Amino acid sequence: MSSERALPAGLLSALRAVVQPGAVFDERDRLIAYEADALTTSRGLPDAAVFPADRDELIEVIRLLHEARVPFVARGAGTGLAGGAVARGGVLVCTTRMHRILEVDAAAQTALVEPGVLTDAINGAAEEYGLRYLPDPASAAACTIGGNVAMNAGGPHCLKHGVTSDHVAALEVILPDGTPLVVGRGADGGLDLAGIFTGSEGTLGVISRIRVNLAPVAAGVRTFLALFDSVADAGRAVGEIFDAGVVPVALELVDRETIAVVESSIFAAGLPLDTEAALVVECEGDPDEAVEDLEEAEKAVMNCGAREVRHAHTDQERLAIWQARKKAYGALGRLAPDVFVQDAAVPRSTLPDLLPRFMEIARRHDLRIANFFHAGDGNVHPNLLFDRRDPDQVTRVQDAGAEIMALCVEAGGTITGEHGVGADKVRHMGLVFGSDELEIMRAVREATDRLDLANPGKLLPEAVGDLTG
Amino acid sequence: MKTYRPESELDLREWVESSTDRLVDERAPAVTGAPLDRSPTGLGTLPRSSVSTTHLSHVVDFRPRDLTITVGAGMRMSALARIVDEEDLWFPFAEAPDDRSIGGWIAAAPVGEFDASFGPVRRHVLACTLLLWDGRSTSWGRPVMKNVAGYDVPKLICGSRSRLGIVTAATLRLWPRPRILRRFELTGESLHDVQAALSGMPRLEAVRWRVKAGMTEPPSMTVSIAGGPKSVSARAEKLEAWARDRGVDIREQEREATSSGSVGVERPVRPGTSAAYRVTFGRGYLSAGLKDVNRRLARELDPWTVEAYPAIGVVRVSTQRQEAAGQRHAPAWLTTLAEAGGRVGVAGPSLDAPSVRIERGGHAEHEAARRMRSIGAREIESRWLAAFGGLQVPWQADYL
Ligand SMILES: Cc1cc2nc3c(=O)[nH]c(=O)nc-3n(C[C@H](O)[C@H](O)[C@@H](O)COP(=O)(O)OP(=O)(O)OC[C@H]3O[C@@H](n4cnc5c(N)ncnc54)[C@H](O)[C@@H]3O)c2cc1C
Ligand SMILES: Cc1cc2nc3c(=O)[nH]c(=O)nc-3n(C[C@H](O)[C@H](O)[C@H](O)COP(=O)(O)OP(=O)(O)OC[C@H]3O[C@@H](n4cnc5c(N)ncnc54)[C@H](O)[C@@H]3O)c2cc1C
Repeated sequence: MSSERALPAGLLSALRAVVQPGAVFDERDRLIAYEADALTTSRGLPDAAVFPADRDELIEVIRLLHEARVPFVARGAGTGLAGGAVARGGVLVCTTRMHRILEVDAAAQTALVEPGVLTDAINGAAEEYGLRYLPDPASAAACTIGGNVAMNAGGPHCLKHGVTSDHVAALEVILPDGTPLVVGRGADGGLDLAGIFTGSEGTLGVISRIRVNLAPVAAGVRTFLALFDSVADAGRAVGEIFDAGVVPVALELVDRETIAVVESSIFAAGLPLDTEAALVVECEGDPDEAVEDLEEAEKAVMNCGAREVRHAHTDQERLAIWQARKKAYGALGRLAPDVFVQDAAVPRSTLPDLLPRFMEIARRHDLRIANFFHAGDGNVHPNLLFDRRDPDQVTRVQDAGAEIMALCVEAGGTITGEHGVGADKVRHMGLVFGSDELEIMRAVREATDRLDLANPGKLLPEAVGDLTG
Repeated sequence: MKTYRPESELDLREWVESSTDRLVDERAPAVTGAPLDRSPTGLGTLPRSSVSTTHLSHVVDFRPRDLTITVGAGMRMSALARIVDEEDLWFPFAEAPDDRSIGGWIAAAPVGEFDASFGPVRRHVLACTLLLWDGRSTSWGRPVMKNVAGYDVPKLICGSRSRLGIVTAATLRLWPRPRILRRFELTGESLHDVQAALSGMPRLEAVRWRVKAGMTEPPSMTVSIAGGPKSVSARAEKLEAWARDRGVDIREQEREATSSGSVGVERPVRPGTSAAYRVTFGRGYLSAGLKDVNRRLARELDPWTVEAYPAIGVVRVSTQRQEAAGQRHAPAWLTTLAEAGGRVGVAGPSLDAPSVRIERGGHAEHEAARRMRSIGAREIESRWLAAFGGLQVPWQADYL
């Protein structure tokens, strides 16, 4: 739905005057490409889209929008799964042309990048110094670092290495009135302001530059895939690995339904179709260390009844395992036109109990469910498959989704572990925040955005009355 | 100054509510986790009253299988270390003896030697309860490893030094206890250039470098190696060989401190008897700065100790001597550190040490800030403090 309100006269030409030729458009047929992010069920049309080429243009753009009192939504690659980068009226501010890596400081192990840089491109630039950027959202080849910082993205390897926030050294944000502000992590005795801008989902301004931390490439990496006859056993094995004193860099779970789709796609990794669950376990360090840790992990999974452990003996085999895991989401398209992505995070020990209950909920609502997720972090993605053209299915998916979320919160968990609140989970915020906390967060937002211009309606419920929960 | 030691969060809440008048003139009651009457130094004006979390020291919820523990803010580091050790878990920050409180640790967000391999304070605070200065009790975060619901307020609380409110309880991230953890103490002249020294050593999980003013002794370094038995012994051998080659004295320390169970040993620290500065250089940029320090150290006799955490590029300058802590100005070579490119953090013993707040050089986060031309960070900070009804004390400067 586009808003009824048209843009103020003269705004488009004012915007055109501050950016490169062709970097502003308002034709409906072109705007349609930006109607949704990767959560295709949440849609909206902006009145215009603008593509600043650098920070200075971005500042001018935000100033103009502020002067004209026009709401705006920052957008990176649009791979978000929470409907966050979608504008219902107003202007979409796209960062994809701001894609320069401004500096790699090999000695300090940091890089200064523009927000539109693809996450993988940072690795490309760091590689020649033997460095890498650690967080690895499965979408790294397509998403932007600005989007990662805005969402505080996670990824399979965040188990040991930490999420995006753990790798942001400083950032610059253009506040909703066009003022640039540089914030760090409080090393000077001030507050960790960058810690709040990270994960703010575009509601506190547009991130214009980021200094990320890099780390040396590990000398040794070892990976295996453990196959189980029961999901609960696989869940138990996760705890057993930690009990053995090992912290793998990644510990991912893939269930039977997912294996079936992946095996019928071009990313087939040769997994037996009668496997109920598979765990991907990866260890890293000095070469001997990776081997030693993986041996301990192997003992642990065998103790929990793994029926088989398949080691990746070559880089190629390792990549095949990861492709199977990382492309699972895309492959789901083969099963159903739509996927309802869930992203709760729960205390790890509740996994063996919760996983069968997710299945049970799906069965009760006559829905198919595919699980593949960051088991080591307790960040679950029970994905419900459906067809949005069937209103009955939509209702069932919403009901089942709400039940699963409530179950996870009851187990001590949270409504989103890495995909963010966006437009999608705003109404669930009351499950994890009280009215005082919500009021304080609104005050934090109002401190820089009295006019409610930056990504309005996302992350925070407007009023406590909006909440289910 | 009277110190109030509430027995419960409820008592504390009542006390905060009844002390609104004390907040009016910005002379905030001091919060402390200290068992003794340790006064937080550096408050512009001395507080008229103080409150200690020392009795809020219970375990609220310990979930070993989830690698989390929720404890009252007054829990001592040593006690925490002992409790988690019983379940073969590990909290890398506790030293023994260690009478710091968890609340004070969160509020001060000190640097630690394991920061580079396990992450700093903020990575370990998953959730906490914050009693606001208006008496409201708020709760932030969840007891899970990943959470992106709402603004990441626990990050703001870490290092906030009671300006946002009083931390009454926190859920912390724990780690499996490393199968093997060995610590070595190295001493020798060839440690002067810490960066060069490190480049010849095996990979280490923790490094702390130390030199005392007056340079009566050579620099020393405490290093830790953690992991599986084969990897640890291979790396330990490499380290020993390195030390032999350089004529560096190497000694293995006894049992890892956190499991020694030396509970109840409390550092009696009297008001104004210690002070510290934190200087941030950024990884890879320590050597240049430290060389200057070494030169200056040779000449100066201030009773200060310089500690460096090379893996995170931070230097800590501290003293326990009364006369030095009482000084109105920072030691001369703290300025040297700043001039060598370090970013000097919270001013220690007094607020008026502007000479050391030189914002230049260094390749840490603030180097980025410098080049990007920060404006208004203090302004945002103050507005966000207001959102919490927090205290507008610009720098509640104390220990780092
Ligand atoms: C002798 C000494 C040696 C030290 N050595 C080191 C070192 O080697 N490395 C290092 O990095 N740091 C060091 N520190 C700093 C110390 O680690 C931190 O100041 C902190 O962890 C102290 O905890 P505490 O319980 O003693 O807190 P306190 O000293 O009581 O308080 C520290 C700060 O936190 C606030 N605070 C305390 N409790 C709470 C609470 N519950 N809620 C909100 N705010 C609170 C206080 O107002 C104060 O601003 C040292 C400190 C001392 C006194
Ligand atoms: C196949 C697939 C796999 C995925 N795997 C993962 C995963 O493993 N882990 C994970 O965490 N996520 C994952 N995601 C989700 C998504 O990729 C991440 O949320 C990513 O960080 C979004 O980046 P983006 O550039 O696409 O941002 P967008 O979708 O364009 O925007 C996301 C949000 O960030 C805001 N934003 C974007 N840029 C800026 C900026 N410069 N300043 C301020 N706000 C901004 C937007 O307003 C919006 O709210 C996956 C998505 C897909 C489709």
